[in-house]
Amino acid sequence: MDLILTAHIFGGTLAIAAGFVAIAAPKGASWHRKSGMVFFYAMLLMATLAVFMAGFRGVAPGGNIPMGLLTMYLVVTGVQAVRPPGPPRVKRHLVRLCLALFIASGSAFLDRQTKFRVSCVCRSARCSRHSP
Amino acid sequence: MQIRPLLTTLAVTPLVAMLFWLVKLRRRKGARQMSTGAPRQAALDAVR
Repeated sequence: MDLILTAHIFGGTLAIAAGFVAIAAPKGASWHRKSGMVFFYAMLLMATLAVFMAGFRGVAPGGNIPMGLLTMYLVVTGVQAVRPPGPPRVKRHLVRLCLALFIASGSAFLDRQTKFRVSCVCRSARCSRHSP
Repeated sequence: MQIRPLLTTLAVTPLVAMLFWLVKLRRRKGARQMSTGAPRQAALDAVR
C-alpha cells in the first residue's frame, strides 16, 4: 500500500481518537493536555499529507488543498490561543479545535458506507443495502 | 446492518461538544459578571 496514504490514514485515525479523548477528558487536566498534543501533531501530519496528495497527485485539489490548509490554520491557531504569553482564549481554542476535529471526523465518517463494507443482515435479494 | 447513523453520530460529535461547551462558557461568564456586578457597574459608569 502507498506509504503516504497509509501515513495520512494513520495520522487521521490517531487524531480522531486523541480528539475524542480530549473532548471527554476534564478540560485543562493532564489527559486533556496530553491527548491534545497528540491530536495537534497527528492533525498536522494528516493535513500536510492531504495537501501533498491533493497538490501533487491531483486528488480533488480544488476542495482538498483549501480544506487541508484551513485545518492546519485552525489547529495551529487553536493551540496558540491557550499558550503563553497572553491570557488563555478558551472560546477561540474551543471553536477552532472542534472545527478541526469535525473536518477530520466528517471526512472520515460522512458518506463512507461504501468504504466500511457492511453486509446487510436481511439476506433479501431485493434489499438495496444487500451487498453481494 | 445500519452503520450510517453511527458514523453520522461520530462525525457530528465535535460540533455538538462545541455547542455544549460554548453554552457552558457563556453561562459561566454570565454568572461571573452577576457575582461581581460588572454589568451594573458599567451601566452606572456610562450614566455618569
